Amino acid sequence: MTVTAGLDLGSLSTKAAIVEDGKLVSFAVLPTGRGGAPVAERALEEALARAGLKRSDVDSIVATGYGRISVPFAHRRVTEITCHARGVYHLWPDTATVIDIGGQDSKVIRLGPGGKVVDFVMNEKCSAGTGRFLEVMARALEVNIEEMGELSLKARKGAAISNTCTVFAESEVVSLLAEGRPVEEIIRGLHEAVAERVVSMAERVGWQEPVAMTGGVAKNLGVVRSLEERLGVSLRLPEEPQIMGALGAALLAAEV
Amino acid sequence: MDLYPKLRSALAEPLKRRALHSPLVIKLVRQILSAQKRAFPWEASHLLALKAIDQAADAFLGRGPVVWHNVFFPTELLYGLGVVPFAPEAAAAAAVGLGLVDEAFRAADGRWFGTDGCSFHRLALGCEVAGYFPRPQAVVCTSHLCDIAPQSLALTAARHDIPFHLLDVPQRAGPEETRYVARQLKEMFFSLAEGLRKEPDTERLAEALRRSNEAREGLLRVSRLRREPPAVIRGDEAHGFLYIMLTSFGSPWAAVVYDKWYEELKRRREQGRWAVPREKIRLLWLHLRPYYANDIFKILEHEGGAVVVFEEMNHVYWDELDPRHPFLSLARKVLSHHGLGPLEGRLGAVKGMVEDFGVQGVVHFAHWGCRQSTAGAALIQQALREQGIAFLNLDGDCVDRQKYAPGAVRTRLEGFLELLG
Repeated sequence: MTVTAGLDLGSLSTKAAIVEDGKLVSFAVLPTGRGGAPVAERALEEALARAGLKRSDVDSIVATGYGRISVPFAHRRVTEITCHARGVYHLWPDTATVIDIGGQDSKVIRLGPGGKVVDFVMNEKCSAGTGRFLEVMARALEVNIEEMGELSLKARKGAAISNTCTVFAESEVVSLLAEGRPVEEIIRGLHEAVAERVVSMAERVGWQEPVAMTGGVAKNLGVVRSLEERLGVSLRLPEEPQIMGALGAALLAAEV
Repeated sequence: MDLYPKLRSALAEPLKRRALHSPLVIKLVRQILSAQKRAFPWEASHLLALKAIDQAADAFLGRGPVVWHNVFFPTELLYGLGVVPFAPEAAAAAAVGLGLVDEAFRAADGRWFGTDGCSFHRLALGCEVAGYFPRPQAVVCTSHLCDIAPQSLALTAARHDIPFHLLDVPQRAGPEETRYVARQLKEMFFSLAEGLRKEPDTERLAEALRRSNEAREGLLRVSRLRREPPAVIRGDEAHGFLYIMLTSFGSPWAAVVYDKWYEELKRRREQGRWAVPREKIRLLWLHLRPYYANDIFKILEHEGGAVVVFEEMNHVYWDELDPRHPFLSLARKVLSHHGLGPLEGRLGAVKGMVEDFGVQGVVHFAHWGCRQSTAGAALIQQALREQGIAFLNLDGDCVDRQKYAPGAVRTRLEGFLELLG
């Protein structure tokens, strides 16, 4: 029996995945907070406890995500680009493109034969088009971020909102609210802005079908629908899109 | 290399404008640099630093009429005139190391210089306004490649009420275009000579072209040696030599530095002193690099075992000059730049470099506001993809550290290395 662990330290959440003989057996998702080794440790312990395993059972650990360098007990560090690709390849080996929208960044990854990354593109330094963008807007709109997807699906059209800058978009949202635009239309507009930005990234890498989506924003059906409309395809959605980086990391740990 | 901390400490805190114009301070800085041979990874880079200090001293101490030029101007014309050339864009890169950025940016902002423009020019203008750059007696500039340079340098000329000479370079090269550019160069040569009270000595100009040819030969020898794997010089170190390409062709010392560099490269190759312990990946670098402290080359070369084996900016794109026909010859040089005109020229040059240097990946540093370089990235990516060469477009800014996100850059570079691994 080979037990490996993957830790994905993102800006908003830290994920741990435990893989036993190539199969996902448990996972845990914790808020990153101040981040670093303590939260990675807690996520790992929680995931192991759910699987009924002990730390000493783990053969190898791979850390990924922005916080990957702050996990001293990881045996290896791999970028989230490779890890998301590996996680998706595990689920659907014929996937050609992965769209990952996380808290701090969004990326589009092109996969080649054997799930190898052949190209990728990430958002620029600003947070527009990421989970953080939606979080800021949810706060401005005084809605729960988890409700945004459902609310946006009720709108027949979206309000036009800038997709270039979170600060500008936030002030646009405040103006739209002042004009009396329904919250649902504003949220739909925000989702469309995110989708527009991600689709332009997908074009840069020459996206191809089938396309899978990972990251916490894949739980937002409003963003998923907006992306599907623009790409003209159905997106493959993992049951737990947030943990695909951690899963990929755990699978790579087994390959060391 | 800890050149800049040494310079900063030599000039004391805070760095005073007057210090740059003081013969005593400049002499002191040169002496310190001269004694710091071991602080430089290459004897040639030490020699280059000394030559650059001498050149700056000529400009700051006014040892001749100072003529500002942009980095794409054929400097042979200026060396041939016997004036003191000063390249504000190159000096801006040095200003980053000297910690002048914040003050200079504030000064430029106060002159309506937008933050969406090229920060080399924003910084250069700011340094000039703040009094850190030597006062020009004339300004020359080409219209090709860099679209902001003519406006930015015209502003400097206007501020000092001095002549501004624009070399209008057509997008395509042909006999008529060559004659058109040559006529302008000739007119500029005599007009500058008259305005600056210099003898328009065509023999001195021919000599500058001969020196330029020697430097060209030297750089070609260096480039041929750098093609052989494994690399003996890291891209991090080789980038420093770009200064010559951008400011010093036609000078008496450009060929001397290249020759020294060549001898060192050859010696290290014979000794088996490689750039990295085990070369895993060979990379080509397009456009320029950031000049503030950053981890880019540390991630690629120290941690990743990849080596930037060549830089696009070190590419010799022109044929040997003919000193008997200096103006026509320099016109041909200007018009043969691979970045001029349709993108096919740059594509062909990049493909050639990929092949010559046997690289597996290409990194394009997309400097903020540099449209001439960034606008073609998609087609370059496509062309390289067809050749099976990986391409990374790294967004950033060469001089404005505010636009550098260390975590995001690390992820892109490591992801790129994983893709290549």
